[in-house]
Amino acid sequence: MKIRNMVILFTVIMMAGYLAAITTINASQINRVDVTEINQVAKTIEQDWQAGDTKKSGANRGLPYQIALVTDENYQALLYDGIKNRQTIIDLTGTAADGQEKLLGKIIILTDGSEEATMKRNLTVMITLTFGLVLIMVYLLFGLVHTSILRPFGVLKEFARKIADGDLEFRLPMDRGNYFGAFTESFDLMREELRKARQGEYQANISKKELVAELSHDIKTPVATIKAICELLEIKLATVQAEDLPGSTAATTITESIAKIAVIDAKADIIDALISNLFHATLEELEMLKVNVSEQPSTVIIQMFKEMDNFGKIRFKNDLAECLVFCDPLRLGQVIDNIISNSYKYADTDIDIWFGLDKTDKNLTIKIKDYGAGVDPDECPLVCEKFFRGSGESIQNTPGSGLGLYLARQFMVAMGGSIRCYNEGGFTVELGIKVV
Amino acid sequence: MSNTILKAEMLSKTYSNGSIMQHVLKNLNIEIKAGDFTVIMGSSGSGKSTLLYALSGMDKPTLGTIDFKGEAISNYSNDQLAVFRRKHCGFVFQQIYLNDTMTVLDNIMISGLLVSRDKKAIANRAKELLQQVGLSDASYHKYPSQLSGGEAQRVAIVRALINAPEIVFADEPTGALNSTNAVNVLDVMTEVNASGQSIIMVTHDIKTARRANRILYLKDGVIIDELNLGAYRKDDPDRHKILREFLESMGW
Amino acid sequence: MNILMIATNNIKKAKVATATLIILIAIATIFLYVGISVLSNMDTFIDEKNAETNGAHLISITDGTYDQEIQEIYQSIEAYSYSEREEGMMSMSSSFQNINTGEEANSIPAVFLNLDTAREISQVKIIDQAQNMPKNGVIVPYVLKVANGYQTGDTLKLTVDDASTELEIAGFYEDLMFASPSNVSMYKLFLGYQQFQEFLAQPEYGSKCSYIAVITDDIKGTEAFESQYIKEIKTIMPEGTGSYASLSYGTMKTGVAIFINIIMAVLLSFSIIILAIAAIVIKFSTTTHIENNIKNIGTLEAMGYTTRQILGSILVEYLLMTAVGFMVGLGAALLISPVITNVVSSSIGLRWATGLYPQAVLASLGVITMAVLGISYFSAAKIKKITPLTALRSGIETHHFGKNRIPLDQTRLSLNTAMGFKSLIFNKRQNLIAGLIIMLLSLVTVFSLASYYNFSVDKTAMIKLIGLETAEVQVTALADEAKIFEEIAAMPGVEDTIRLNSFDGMIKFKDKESSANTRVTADYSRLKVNTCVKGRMPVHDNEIAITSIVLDNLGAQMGDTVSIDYNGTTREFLVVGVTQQFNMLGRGAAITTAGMKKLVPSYQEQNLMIYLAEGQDTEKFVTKINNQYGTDKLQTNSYFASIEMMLDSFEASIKIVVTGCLGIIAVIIVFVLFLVIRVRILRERTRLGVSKALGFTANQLIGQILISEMPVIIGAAVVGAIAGYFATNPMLALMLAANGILNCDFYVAPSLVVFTAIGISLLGLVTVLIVAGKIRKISPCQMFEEGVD
Repeated sequence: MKIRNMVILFTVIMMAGYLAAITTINASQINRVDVTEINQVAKTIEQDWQAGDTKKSGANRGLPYQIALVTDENYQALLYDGIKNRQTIIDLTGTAADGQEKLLGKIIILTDGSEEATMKRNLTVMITLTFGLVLIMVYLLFGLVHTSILRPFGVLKEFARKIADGDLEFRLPMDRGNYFGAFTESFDLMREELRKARQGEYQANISKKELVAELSHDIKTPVATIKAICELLEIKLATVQAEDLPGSTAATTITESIAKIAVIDAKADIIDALISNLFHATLEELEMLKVNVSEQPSTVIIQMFKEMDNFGKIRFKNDLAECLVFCDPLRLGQVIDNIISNSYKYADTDIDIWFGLDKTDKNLTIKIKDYGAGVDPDECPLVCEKFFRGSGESIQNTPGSGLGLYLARQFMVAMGGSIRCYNEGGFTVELGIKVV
Repeated sequence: MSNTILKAEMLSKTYSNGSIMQHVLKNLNIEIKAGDFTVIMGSSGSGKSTLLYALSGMDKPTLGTIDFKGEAISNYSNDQLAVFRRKHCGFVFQQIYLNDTMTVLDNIMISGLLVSRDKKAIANRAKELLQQVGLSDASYHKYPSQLSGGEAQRVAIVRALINAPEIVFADEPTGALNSTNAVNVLDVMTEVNASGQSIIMVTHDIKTARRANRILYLKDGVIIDELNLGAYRKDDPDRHKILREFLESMGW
Repeated sequence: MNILMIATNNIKKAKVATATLIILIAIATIFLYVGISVLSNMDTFIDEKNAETNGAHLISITDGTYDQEIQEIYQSIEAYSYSEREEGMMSMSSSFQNINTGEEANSIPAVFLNLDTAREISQVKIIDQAQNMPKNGVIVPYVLKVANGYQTGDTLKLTVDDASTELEIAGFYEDLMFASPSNVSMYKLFLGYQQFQEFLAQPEYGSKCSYIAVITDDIKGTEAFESQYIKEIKTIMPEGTGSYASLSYGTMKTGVAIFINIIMAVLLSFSIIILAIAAIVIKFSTTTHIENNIKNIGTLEAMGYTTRQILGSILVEYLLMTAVGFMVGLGAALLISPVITNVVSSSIGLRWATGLYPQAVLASLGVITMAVLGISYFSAAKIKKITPLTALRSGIETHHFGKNRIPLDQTRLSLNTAMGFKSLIFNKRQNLIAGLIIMLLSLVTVFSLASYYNFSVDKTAMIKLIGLETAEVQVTALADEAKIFEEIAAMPGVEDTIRLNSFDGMIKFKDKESSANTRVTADYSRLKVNTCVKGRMPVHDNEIAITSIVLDNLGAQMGDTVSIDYNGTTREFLVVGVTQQFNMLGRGAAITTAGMKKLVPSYQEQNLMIYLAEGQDTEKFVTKINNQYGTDKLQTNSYFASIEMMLDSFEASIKIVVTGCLGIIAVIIVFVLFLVIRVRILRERTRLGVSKALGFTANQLIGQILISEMPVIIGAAVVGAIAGYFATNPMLALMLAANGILNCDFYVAPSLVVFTAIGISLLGLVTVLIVAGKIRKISPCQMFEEGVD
């Protein structure tokens, strides 16, 4: 708890206590008489009187009283005695014979001195409470000083010893709410900085080592090339020295030249290869549709078949092994589309699908088989050729371009896969897709 | 093959961010044998942590199967996975992740009580294990923020071991520690492994990797090579050299 | 402007807190605006309404024997301007039933006037006038349209004892004097000439009377005018004969607005409660905001922003929310204005028009802005103390070195329970706040339900508050009272009879005086309703009990002696008790019959309250008595029924207010819990993720949150409901203090308390479950994905 809050709390408690005391004093109406009660007593006495009970003293509702009648000899004396003792005096009236009210005398209500005692007792209680409250607050204050100032000092001492021993991991427990906390905090800050400095040093060392390792690795490749050429030159020179014109400078020069030409030749070969690659790439692009091979989950294949299954004839004979494959979903979809359409067109039977995964060859095979007439065995190798169409009458009568399986093969090859067509109790197509 | 406890086949993990799919793991096949100290290495972004979490049943693989002692955990529901993890896996994280609001002992008890109801037995086992990793009685009732990083990580290891799991998964357990503390923690892990506990750990650090008997090198989501180091012995210069060469050949 | 940018950014980040706050502010605005606009415009509204028809300043209804003398009295009073007298018919024991709405018959006295009489004072402007005035057409007070749903063309069945006839409603009129039966338990009805004459010819429907309307020079002095009139009229007419009623504009104006004023006061206090809740939410979200953004604050400070600017940005943030919330609230207030119009109109019986009152808008805007800005300033002021260094160095670190209260190795609790309790202890600050709010709302719920119950279901306590006896039948004997009363007491079906009279007394103390409706009976302990709140009721002939309003007016206290002036006789009375009553504007007194005899030696009690045994039909009993004695000796009316009917007119208003309050309470509870739990889940995302990794299922984690929240919710709901059980009556007394009510005795059913506690707990449970369901979506890996690998 902060000192400010403490002060506020103390002030509030003290003020509340003060106000409570003042209110109690003001509210205590010890010397005021309960008029209602007096009226009640007077009326009761009047009624009794009327009923014939002419007792001249007694007690009613705990209030002792005495009656002084007008007809009494000592009426005056009784009355003034009562007034002297600050006693309550009230009229005693009765109904006369003619029905009019008339004054009979006075009722003097006797009071004892108990009010003073009550007042004293109340004062004692109040003073005891006040002193007790002050005492408790003083104790509280001492306690607070002890916990918030003296104890933290002890902790700080221990902390300093640890730091001196080099234990920088030891945290200084702190309480920010405390005034002392701000002080201990800076100590902890000091420890933290020391620890960071040590750690920074360690990190710097590590990264220096890493840099050296990285550079050495990168320089390897060019060095290897240089080495290879050196070796080559060495061998060449050695042979020339051993066979022809030993000692001749011309010969030496020639041999050196031949060697350099060989290097140039090799480099030219590379350039050649690069150009031919470029050439091939352009050619392929001209010749076929672009295939974007990407890594795809094999589950997309199931989806492709499902999209083609317009007649409910496709049956999966086993589960597809889940794996990532290289394919272009768009093109693979076209391949499957072409194969299934062919089956619908020429066989129109159920189509069974088998999947197979060859883990060692990293190959996923899809076998698509219908139960139609199949293809003429002689024509089997040709089905994937450009513009080839079967010679059977029914085939010739069915419209088609002869490009479906050709494109399928082109796509499959472009995806790094394969396609194989054969008869096996029906026309069967086996697709091979490369697994990542 | 009888001592194979965890087997992953054709494991793939794909994150899709809108239309872009990113394959973090690609058709991985891994077998973990009982008692192995396997370390997964690889450069940043090679998918090592993803592999660790997929193997531990914290994350479901997109494709492929994971078998734990013949059970296909890859088909489990989230809750089944949670039950699987509490019984069979222990975890040690780089950021330690102890619950700051609870004492050391309570942090360990949380895990223990998930599996068993015998509070006495767990408390005793926890104390025993804390003793083993070199934490004194005084630490039982401390809070994690009162401990050093190394001490906290050793508490985390005890938490991972409390249910005697088949495998402890550790994700760069020494990543956030200074060298002294790191060695302490690694010693504890080596000791634990020596007593037959299987450990799978991801790390960047060669000194940490040296403790393993088997190193898997991951690159672009594919295990490109594997090195068998054999059981760890202290002060074995050859071991360090072999590992270094292996890593260099991987382009580390 | 940079500060604005920071502020809008903050708002975007804390969407839920912002939404909650806007809704709270909007709700507070609705209540505050409606309350202020109705309260501040009521006075002028009534005055304008009255001026429209040149409404009477004083009305007296007498039996017509002393017309001449009365006119002289009026003219003798200085403020008199002019008056109009017309013929009317007074029906004391009439009851009405609208056949079309199918309501029960209402017993209420009525005065019938001729619609076709030309009049200057209190002109009749007919609303919803029928196309053609039918022969049996009747023009009824507007309150019947708004509060009871009467429509033009409805058939109104009039029953007086045995005779009955059917009237057709041909329109409605507005008149302050007879605006609402809650004010004057009497209908003023206008009939066509023919029907009026027919009634006059049939004495069983009522007796002929003089209806005199007076206009004075000073509309503010009507009450003084009335008391002077009453003083004078007593000299020519003995108490209880001939004069039926005198009504002054001032008294009626206060009376007519009294219930709507109470309702609006309830609305205002409700809006204050909501503002208090908004304050708690602001304090909470500001503290969280500062804790979470301590580094950003440090960065801003390092960049050169002064703490004043950052504080400014937070204030601007809340200012924006206040602006939006206020606009929404104002819009909503205008949207629901038909409801408000209905509530107000049915309570005052005059056609209220809700509009846009610029002063009310400004006043409510001022209150809300001050409240919001004040709270946000004080809760954000600690930014001033943050230096950029402390802020950047990870700010306020949290150390938890407290004692471990539930060590898991020793506790007997199950794991999830133990974890739940641990987080309950750890989140004690939020829990305290949520608990406080729920407690407050639970208390308000009990309060509104109890009010509803006592206003609408069991009206005994309400009647007691009003200060009326619960006698079913009231009989006024004109002769032979001693014999007749004894006979009635002996009748079968009569449980008890009490002679209870009342008169308008003028009470004096020192040099002040105040009028009070003084009740007279022999023995107050026999009354069924005890209105005494301090001291005791009078027993002896020189004792009197007075309501606190009258005592305050006089400056007297219990134990003082006051005097009553009656027809020139003055007697002293000792004040022995303080009473309370709601009717007669809280001005009442009570003396004994013996005391009254001191004032008027020849006094005879002519009024008898008859309490019927359980299951007796009041109407049949009234008819029976009338048949036995005839109406010339006796006037009889169904006393309790007419009180109930007067209460019915606010039932509708109370229902709307209570329903609205309950709905809003539910919304606030849901929002506060939503906020608390969402913030907690966001803050503890990592811990929850790790817990999932360790093998906790989502259900277990939701269970833990439930265990950590439910004790607080249930505890707060129960404590609040119990507090409501004890606080309802003191709160009500406080609200009605202006009407001289010192304590209330509303019945708060224990089942209501139980129902509230259970209802709020269930609401809390459902909310927590729904919000905590978010945990299912947190995958153990989410937290690792960022940064690592």
